Amino acid sequence: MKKDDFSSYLMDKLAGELSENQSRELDQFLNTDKDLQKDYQFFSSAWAEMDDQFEDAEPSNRLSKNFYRQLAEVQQQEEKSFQNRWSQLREQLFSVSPLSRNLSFGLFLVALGFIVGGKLNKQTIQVNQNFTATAPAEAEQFAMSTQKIQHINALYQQNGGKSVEELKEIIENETNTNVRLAALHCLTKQTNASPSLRRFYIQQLEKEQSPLLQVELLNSIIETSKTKESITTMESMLAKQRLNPIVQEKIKKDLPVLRASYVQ
Amino acid sequence: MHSTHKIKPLQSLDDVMLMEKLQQGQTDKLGLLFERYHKRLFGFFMKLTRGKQSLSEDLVQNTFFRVLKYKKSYNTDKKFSTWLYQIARNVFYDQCNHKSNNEYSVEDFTFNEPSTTMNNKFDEEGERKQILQLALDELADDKREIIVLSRFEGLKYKEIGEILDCTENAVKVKAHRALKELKDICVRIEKEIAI
Repeated sequence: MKKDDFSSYLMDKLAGELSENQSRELDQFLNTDKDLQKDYQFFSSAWAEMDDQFEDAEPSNRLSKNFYRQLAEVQQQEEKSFQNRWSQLREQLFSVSPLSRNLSFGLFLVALGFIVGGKLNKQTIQVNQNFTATAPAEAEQFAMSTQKIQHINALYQQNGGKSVEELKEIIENETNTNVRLAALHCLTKQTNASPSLRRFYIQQLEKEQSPLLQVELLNSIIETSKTKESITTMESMLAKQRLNPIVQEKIKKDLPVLRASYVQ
Repeated sequence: MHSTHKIKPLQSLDDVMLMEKLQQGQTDKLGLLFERYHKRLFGFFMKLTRGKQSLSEDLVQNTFFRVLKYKKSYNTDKKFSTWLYQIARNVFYDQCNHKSNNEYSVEDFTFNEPSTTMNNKFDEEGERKQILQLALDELADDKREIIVLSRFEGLKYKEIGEILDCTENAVKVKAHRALKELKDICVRIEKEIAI
């Protein structure tokens, strides 16, 4: 045994944890140093007598009483703390922060948009349904107009003169502008400009409301009827306030030509 | 083929299980640990405080509520009693050093000079025990503590090393030095009585 190991051997010996071999080594070591031997004897006796130094005192009832009272207080505090945490959590979950308030308002606007949009969409559908409902009637009218134009073309193919009255009637009474245009075109190309037909053009120009037919009638008048009556009629039309600008422009352009070619 | 898995003693296992439940928030489990260890801790503090019963009871109570406070720091791989003693000695030294609330001062734990009338009461054996008692009372707190831990608490030197945060061999060296100081005090008291 080395001198440095003395403490370890000594304390193990006192604790009863030293093996027999180590115990012999310790005894041999102690035999070499009388002072250490005296120390060891003191340590052994003191170690053994220490049991008498400390009485086995029992704690009073005060200890348990105070401990459990404090433990109950801690548990109450924890319970309150839990309730407070829950309250805080609830407040956090359900409180309205500026961000969430703005977000809610935005969502409200989006929802409102959906509702209003839905209503308007219903109205659009209604309009479309109405349109769809009117479409067959217009298609029927279109088909009828086509048939009329085909009829006018057939008249154009026939011998001239016999169909003049029929074409004039179409121009006067037909509601479809295209049909009337076709009839006027056919009348202008098919027939010679008789005095009665020239008057028809001038009379029709005075009462005609469609700008397209007005322009077409002007063309027919310039081509067939270079008369004072034509000039007077065109001048009276220019005096009208609600004349179509294109028609007005057409009259302003044609009127000098008509005056220049006017045959007294 | 022997299994290398170590089975923990039932008592230690129960302590660890109680601590796990305490860590999970079952505060009432502190009561079970108190029932299991309060007398042992009371004896430990009685030796450290030189028999101050009321103070020792307060220190026991403080120790258990510090267990509750620092329950999360307990490592369930370690022995509970070792951790409990670590807390207990911290509570003791905090109490000694707490000067602002100095209900108990360090002076309360220091040696009281023997009265001269005691001399007549000593027989030879009784005198030796009385001197030893006086010497233990006079012993510095850290040396008194290591003697108490190694002599009375049934702890292995390795466990004491864990409590004091030092090696097993260092514990033995400290214990040896404490005994040598105890002897020196005894010698001095014998001389004082003899005069």
